[in-house]
Amino acid sequence: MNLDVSRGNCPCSVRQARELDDGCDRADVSCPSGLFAEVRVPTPRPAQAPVRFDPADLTELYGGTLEDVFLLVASPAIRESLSLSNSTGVTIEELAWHGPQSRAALVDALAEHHRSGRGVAVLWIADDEFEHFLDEQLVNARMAAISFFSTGFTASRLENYLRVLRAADYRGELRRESALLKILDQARKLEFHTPAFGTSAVFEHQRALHWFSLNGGLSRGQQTVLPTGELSALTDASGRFSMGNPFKLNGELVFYGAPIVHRGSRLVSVEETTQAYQAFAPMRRHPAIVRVEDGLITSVRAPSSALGNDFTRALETLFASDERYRKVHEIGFGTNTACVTLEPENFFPNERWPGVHFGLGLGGHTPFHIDLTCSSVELRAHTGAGPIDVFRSLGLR
Amino acid sequence: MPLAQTEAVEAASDIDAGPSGVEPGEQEQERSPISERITRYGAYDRLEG
Repeated sequence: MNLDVSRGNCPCSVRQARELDDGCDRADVSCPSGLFAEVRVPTPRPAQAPVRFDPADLTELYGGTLEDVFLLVASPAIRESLSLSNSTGVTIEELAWHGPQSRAALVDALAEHHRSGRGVAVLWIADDEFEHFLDEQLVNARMAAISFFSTGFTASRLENYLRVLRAADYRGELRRESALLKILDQARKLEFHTPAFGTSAVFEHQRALHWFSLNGGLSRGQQTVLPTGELSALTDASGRFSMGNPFKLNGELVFYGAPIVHRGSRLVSVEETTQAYQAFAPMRRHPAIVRVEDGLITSVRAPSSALGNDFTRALETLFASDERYRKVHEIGFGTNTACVTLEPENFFPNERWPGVHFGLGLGGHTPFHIDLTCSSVELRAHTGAGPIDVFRSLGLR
Repeated sequence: MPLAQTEAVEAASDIDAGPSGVEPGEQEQERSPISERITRYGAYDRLEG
């Protein structure tokens, strides 16, 4: 089944409770309750090759310079779909990525350029998991990655990524982050509230220990999975997952908007990841109200039905499968204005939507990492000078 | 120290060691502003795929 979703009057931006409950008339996939393995998976759109790409499009991503060498690292099938042009005349080198065994060749290439005094802007595009490089391997390099590990590659997905990357405002991200950090530093607590449902949850963010920035252009030595545009708090240090150090987060949250399901490891297939995404896709039409106590989701309900809805049932199935998903592992604040439209698929840039998302589970520990971009949740910071509507103050509302 | 920053420090000072599992060394980190302890383009998204 191909999805044909009209943009514009998308329920992702609807904030009235009545409309939330009614859903919308968009074509959509249904999600039977029960195990994710029973979820029907739509047929991917056929590839639309070639995808045009010019490194000059990403100059701002690399901090305003493509360095001495632009190194394109790509899976062979992805490279075949690219039509490469070079309007700036930068030296372009290419390396085929066949999986983890290609890592050594990439590291060697970077080392050789380093020995020769050359800087390198790297774009890594692969249907593989991106694993970060050691700091000493990137002394002369800026590394940006597009991964299709969770969804598999299609040319249309790559085109969508490139559209976001070309439109992103990297300097604006830094400005917004600076303003956001000023608010976070000043605020005693943050409040997530959804007026349409009268829900509120308080996050004692000063107690959160692990904060991460993915904003702005890359400097030498920096690396990221694209797109940029997020500031996040995690309960644990990078790559770690525990139940012993939850957020001080209490109250009720409305999960409604866009789910993003990340494939947690090579032990999980793309098909299983797609099934999981389809199970959560009803979040685009049906809200769930979750109660959170000391960072753990303790109950789930639908706003208007004691029987729940497809999305609440998917959450219950998830929690029954693994209690660790009950912990809100991540609280993220998107800042990428190029992601203002939530795409109706398992599209990683939806996580950078200017607003709040909550992450459950973590790759390498649980089968999936699930980000829930919540378009009906508003963020209020409580400071000594009074409450601040955070995203409005950042110019994002 | 600006008022807002004082408040942030007070908020951090209110924290009990409690059941959160926070190590003493980590708890000390809470007293610095968030803006001074973010990791920029670190390995956070390594496992996000």
